[in-house]
Amino acid sequence: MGTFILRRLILSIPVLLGILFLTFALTRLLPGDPCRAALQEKATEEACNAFNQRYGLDRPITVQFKIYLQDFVQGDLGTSIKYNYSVMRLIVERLPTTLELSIMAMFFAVAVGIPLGLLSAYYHNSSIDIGTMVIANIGVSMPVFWLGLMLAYFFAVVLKGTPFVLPPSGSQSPGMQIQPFYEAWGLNIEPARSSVWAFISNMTITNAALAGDWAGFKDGFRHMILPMVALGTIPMSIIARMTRSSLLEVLGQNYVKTARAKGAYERNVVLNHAFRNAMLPVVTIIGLSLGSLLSGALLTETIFGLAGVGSALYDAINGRDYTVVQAFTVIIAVIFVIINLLVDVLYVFLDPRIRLN
Amino acid sequence: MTDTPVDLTKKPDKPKGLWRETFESLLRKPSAVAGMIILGSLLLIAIIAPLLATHPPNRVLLDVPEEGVSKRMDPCIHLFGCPKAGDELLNIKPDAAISMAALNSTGSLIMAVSGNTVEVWRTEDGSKLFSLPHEEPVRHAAWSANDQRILTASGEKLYVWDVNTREPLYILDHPGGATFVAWSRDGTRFASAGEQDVHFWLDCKQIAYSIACSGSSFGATTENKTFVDEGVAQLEEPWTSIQWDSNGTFLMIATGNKIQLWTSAGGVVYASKTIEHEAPVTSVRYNRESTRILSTSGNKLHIWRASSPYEELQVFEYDEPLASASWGEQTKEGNLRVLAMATSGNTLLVWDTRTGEQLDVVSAGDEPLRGAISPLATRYLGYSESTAYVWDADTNELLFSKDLDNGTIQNAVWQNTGGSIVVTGEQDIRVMKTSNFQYIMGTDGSLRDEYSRLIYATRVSLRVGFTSVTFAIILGTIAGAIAGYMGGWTDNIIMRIMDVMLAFPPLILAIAVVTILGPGLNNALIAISVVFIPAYARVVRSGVLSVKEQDYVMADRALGVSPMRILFRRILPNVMAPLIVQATLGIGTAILDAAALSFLGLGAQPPTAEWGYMLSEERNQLFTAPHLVFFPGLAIMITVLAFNLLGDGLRDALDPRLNR
Repeated sequence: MGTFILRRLILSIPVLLGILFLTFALTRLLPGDPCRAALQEKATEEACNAFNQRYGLDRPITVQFKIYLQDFVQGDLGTSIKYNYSVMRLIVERLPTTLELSIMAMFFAVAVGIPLGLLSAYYHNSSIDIGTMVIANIGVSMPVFWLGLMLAYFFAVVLKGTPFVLPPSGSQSPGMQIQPFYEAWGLNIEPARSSVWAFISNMTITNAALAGDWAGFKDGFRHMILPMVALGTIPMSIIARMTRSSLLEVLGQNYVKTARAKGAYERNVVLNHAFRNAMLPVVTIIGLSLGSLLSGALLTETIFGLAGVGSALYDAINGRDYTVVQAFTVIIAVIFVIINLLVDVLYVFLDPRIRLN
Repeated sequence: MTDTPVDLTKKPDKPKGLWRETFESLLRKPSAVAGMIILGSLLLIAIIAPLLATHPPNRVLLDVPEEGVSKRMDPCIHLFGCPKAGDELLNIKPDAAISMAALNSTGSLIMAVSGNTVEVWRTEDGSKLFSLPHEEPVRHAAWSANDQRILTASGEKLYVWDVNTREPLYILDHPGGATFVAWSRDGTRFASAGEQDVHFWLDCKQIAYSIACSGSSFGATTENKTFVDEGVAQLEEPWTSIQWDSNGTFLMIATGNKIQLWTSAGGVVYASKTIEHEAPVTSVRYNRESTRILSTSGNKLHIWRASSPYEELQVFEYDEPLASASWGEQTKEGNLRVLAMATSGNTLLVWDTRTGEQLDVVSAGDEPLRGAISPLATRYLGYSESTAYVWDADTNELLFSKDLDNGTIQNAVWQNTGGSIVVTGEQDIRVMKTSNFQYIMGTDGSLRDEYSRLIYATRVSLRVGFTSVTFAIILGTIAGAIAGYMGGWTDNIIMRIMDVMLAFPPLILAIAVVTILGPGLNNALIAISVVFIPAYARVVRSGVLSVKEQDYVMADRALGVSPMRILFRRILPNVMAPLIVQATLGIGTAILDAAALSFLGLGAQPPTAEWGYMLSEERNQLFTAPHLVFFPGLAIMITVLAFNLLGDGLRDALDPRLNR
């Protein structure tokens, strides 16, 4: 098993290098001119020369790539052309919100998607099955940004005055001040901007929970519900569909027939015999949908006004801040590769066949 | 399958049979049938879009029908019975006789003065919101500029009401009683007019450092001071018309042969300018920016500069006495035309103020008319004591006339959106529509017909979907075929590149590509194709690998058939099935991603009608005009759903393993 993980790790190195090369190549080799893209109408001959010199664009391509790699390994993802801050700092500040949102969305997707798929397969070809599949099919066809806007409208406007009303934007109510958890614990530290302490205290809900601030926790959670549902609906639908088809496939296999022939209850057959084996492709699909979750976070955060990586990327896109876009692309791709790696490792634990090979 | 050479030269039967079988199996699946029906309808909509759409997609509706004036107008919900010109949208009947009515600035509320009360009604559904009781009959009332206060004149008192609490905030005295009240546009002051005296009132809560409030030029403000009487404008003759300018600085009063501009400064009220006429002034109006004054006196219509040196800019003459002056600003094919209107007897006269030529003369009935031009000068309104008329400004055609069966018309005005007129009778207030035009889904923020744009956008989205997937298939097939056929290093290099591309979430990679290429629909299309190449390359490569070593391909090779021919005649037909499944599902994803790119401002650029862009353009209006966000998103969803259903159906049909 150790060798498998090691091999898998080594295999992902060329992919990571490829990601770096591709993002590098995108800006250098595509017909677009980064100077013109960044400066737009201000891009005169002199301005572009100065620009190219400043960002090292006038050096040979190979040298540029070498510098790019060196910087990346040292954790330097470049500096925003527009605002002159380091991209790394931005990511450290913004990632907590995205992380929290993604985890919640994934939790929602799994917690709703798997039971839906299970029900659908259990009552195969019944009205429950059809209804679930209609929901799942609509779910995968919906634009995230539209779902988000519609949810915001429904819960903030239509349900106004009912107990179900939910805030349509932001991660906290105005005036809601949650103490950083390390202060609540009485730790006398003044954490640096990019320390683990700051990172964790930037996660609103986690911080509130750690600080024991029940009102803050509830408030933060209420703000997260709509983004969570908006972001989680597509993975939820995919997971429901996958659970259903995988379970149906497993239910047709001989050992399930044997279990039934033994006289096991159908419930027992589905939940104990079939479900575990049917989960393997579902785990893969969960891992894969984390990727769509990352691009979905971009749209969701923009709509719900959450200060996450996605909304930073959106600002960068609108500001034509191409270094930031490039850095975020790399980071997201790297995260995606790491997630896939983790899924593969998880697979080893779930599936004994791989472990034995 | 037999491997005789005869079979090789003949077109194999199996694929044909497979397609027919696939199609039949598709027809057995309700979801796939639904997908095909939706898709067929969408293609049909895209083809006959010009027939279905009611307007060109990018036409700004400023100069056509007046409804367009209302920003983001609500759609006509009752699809089959939308009101036409002259139909009553609303009929409000207070208990007592009405003496006046006024709309608030957004047109959502209407105030009716009847007897001792002022009633406020909602124009949306005609329900009564509240009423403000007074001890004596109310003579006049006015909305403040921000609609938060109502000013009423009743007996010798003035009441300032808070619209939210419905309580009088202040009660002030106007000796002799006021017959007219008016707020200034900035809400800091108002004027109340009796027979020949006009009082100026100042809100000390807002302008605390005025001398009138503090009592001395240096003094500190006095707490809790309310409205103070700044002073009185004493007129020599009774006034005929009073209007504030748009800054709230000057109060224009027409009295006798004069127009006087009164103002207050340093606690003194004085007439800063007097414009003399030869005959009594019958009516006077500021234009919207208060840069010009339009006045009628005798047989003449004058236009004056409303700032120093207040000279006469133009004068129009007519044979008969003129009255009821009104401005209109018409935007037509990009040209602004400023119109001036006056009435004379039963005739409405319209002049172009730039050229000085008389544009239109329309007349109706026998009774003398009063009238007004609609805000964007697309309609003329005239009303006599019993009848209201509306003409089209372009054709001079009488659109409709409406008799008031009970009582006389006291007043008729344009709703500030211009879509309807508000006619105040003695017993009721009627809101009437003035055109037959109907926007099925309302208009967007740039005053374009949402429905037509939605229809035309079908073309864009389908084009983006099909084109980007076609490109991706072509490039992916080439890459996959080369990789699979050549094997070895070529295969390795190509497929590792594909692996790297697959390591990016598709939308993120597309964003990165478009950011470099520059935003635009074609660049978005290229980006999406690039992102999708690996999926097709993988499918083709695996197909090639599985077929490459088959005997019939070997036989072809042995016979010296060219690799291209082998690829197209032997290998590709075998990969067709998974490729088509992948492509069908891919088109849906491509449309979704293109919409997302447009939503982020990287795809379609204004003024293209594209669903994602339409949605992003109106997303800030979500809470006021949700339908403008709802419909484009729904269209995207339906389209993607159709491709997904069809793709799923095809996959099930082509993959017997899943057939259960």
